Amino acid sequence: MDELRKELRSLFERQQGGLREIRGSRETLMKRALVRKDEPLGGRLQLVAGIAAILIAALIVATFAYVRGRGVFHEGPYPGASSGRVATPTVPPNFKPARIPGLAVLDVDLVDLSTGWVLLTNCFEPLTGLCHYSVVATKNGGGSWSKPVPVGGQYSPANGDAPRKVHFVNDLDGFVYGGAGAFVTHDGGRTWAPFNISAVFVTFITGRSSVAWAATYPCAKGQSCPYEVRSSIDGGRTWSAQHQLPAGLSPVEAVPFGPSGLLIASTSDLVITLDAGATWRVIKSACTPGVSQEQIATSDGHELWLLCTDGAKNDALYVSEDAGASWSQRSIPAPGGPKSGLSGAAGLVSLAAGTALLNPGRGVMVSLDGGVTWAQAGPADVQFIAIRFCSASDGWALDIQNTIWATSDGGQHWTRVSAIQVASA
Amino acid sequence: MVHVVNAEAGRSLHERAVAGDEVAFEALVGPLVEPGIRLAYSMLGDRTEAEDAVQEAITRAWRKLGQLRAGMPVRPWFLAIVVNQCRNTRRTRWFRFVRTSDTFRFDRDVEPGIERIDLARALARLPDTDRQALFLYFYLDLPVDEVGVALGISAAAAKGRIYRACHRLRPDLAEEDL
Repeated sequence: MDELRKELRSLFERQQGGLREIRGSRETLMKRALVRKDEPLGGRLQLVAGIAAILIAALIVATFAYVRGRGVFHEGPYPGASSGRVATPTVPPNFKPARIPGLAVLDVDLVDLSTGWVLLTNCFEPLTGLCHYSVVATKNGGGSWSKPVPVGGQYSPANGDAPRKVHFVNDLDGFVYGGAGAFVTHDGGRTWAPFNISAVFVTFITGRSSVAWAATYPCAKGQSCPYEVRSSIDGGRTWSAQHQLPAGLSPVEAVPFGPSGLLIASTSDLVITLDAGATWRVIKSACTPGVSQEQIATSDGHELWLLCTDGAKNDALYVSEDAGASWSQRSIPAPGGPKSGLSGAAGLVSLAAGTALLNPGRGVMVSLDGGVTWAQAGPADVQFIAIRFCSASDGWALDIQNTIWATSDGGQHWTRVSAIQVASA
Repeated sequence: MVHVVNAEAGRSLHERAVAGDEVAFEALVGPLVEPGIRLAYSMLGDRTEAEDAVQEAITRAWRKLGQLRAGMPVRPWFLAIVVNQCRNTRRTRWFRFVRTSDTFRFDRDVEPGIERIDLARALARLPDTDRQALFLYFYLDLPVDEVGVALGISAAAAKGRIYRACHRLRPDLAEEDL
């Protein structure tokens, strides 16, 4: 096999010889392509393909409706806006979960190993029609799932304002957010209402217990103004006055810690508060210019973890043990050797001082010594897309096959607990 | 006290790109332009055609960012767009009539050995889809599941396709060798 691989590589190399030097093409092509990004799709081919797709879709829908003897949207995962059709976390004993086709998992969250939620969408390729979003809940660790509860309305597939994340601060108060869309529930996901803060863009909503944090952008796209951060101590029912982040600092993600701390990563530096937002401090990022600050983690606001990636081979992991005053570079674990950096990795998590988890694309790596050494934990060949912890020991990981894995020992061992299955109506 | 950690995936680039951040989009897709050109060149056999296809694929990737499932690897997703764009190019009347049908050709400067000539001929005789799978797997070093995503087939089908193609080139090859 190695010999064939070598010979094929050699043949392909020779075939690619006609390309000569292509290093300069990247910038040129990106520039040209992005100039055309807002042009309407043109060409007869697209038009014909679009019409054909619509006709085929209409035919399928009509056939299905005829066979069922009624409208296809009267049943199924999107029962409409009826408030009577809500999530029912209590699962009957004879419940047999059935997989609903046509839905993909966007995000998961949990408040304990039994109680969690999943944000679902119909919006993935091949894509037809508009995008819908819904949330299902489990009360038995993923053994069964409630009916999907629609969240928000319909979104165009190209609309970046659609929800993308779900986060619960406790078993009643939760949020679905992303882009311009944000929604809140105070009954465990049975009903959802629009977020009660006016914002053009919601960057993150996070928190735990009854404390929640939200970062929003108040100005229209294209205008420049500071991002705003608010906090809530009643699960998002009421919010504090806004705190403006330094001008030019665009928050990307945030990690709450302790009773009143929040660490915010931005496209440039980090910002931290230890006193519920009364005072803020900017921490200089360790990432080299041009390398994105991808993920942050902290369990106490003192030991900070920072992963910088550029989508290629210049990824770097830094740890600060003095609240960001100085940074030390650490080795990046890479089981199987990712070929082009860590971009797309699914999580950097700090559970306690010196302890962190990192998903380098496949499996989970754990360090117990501040990132000096790493050990493989859990399934090495599983590609995780989200890792969430609700305590220093308990967490979920969602893999790309929509399977939930659970750990109760801080990520040392993982058990496959459930494939995402949703009760049909 | 309950510790809170946030494991937001390496999705921030993706999210910023979806929100209209061109710098994030460039960081996300930029490193994939070169493999995209190489893949397109292997399918179209012409540098200009390949660059046009990749340029169009980048524009389409921008428009389709909202469809990229969070957490999904970007590389096979983008390469799938490149493959589709190349297929569209090959379907055009101009390409079918003006371009030579054999886009898979070698630089003749180097005189290869007999065995390599046989292998090159066998490779050229493979269906395009099989050759694309081999190119993605052996040349661009994509894992099997990413080959599947790029070609719009399952990982199992991709593995089967690679194995069958290898078997045609080297009949004594066992599937376990993959």
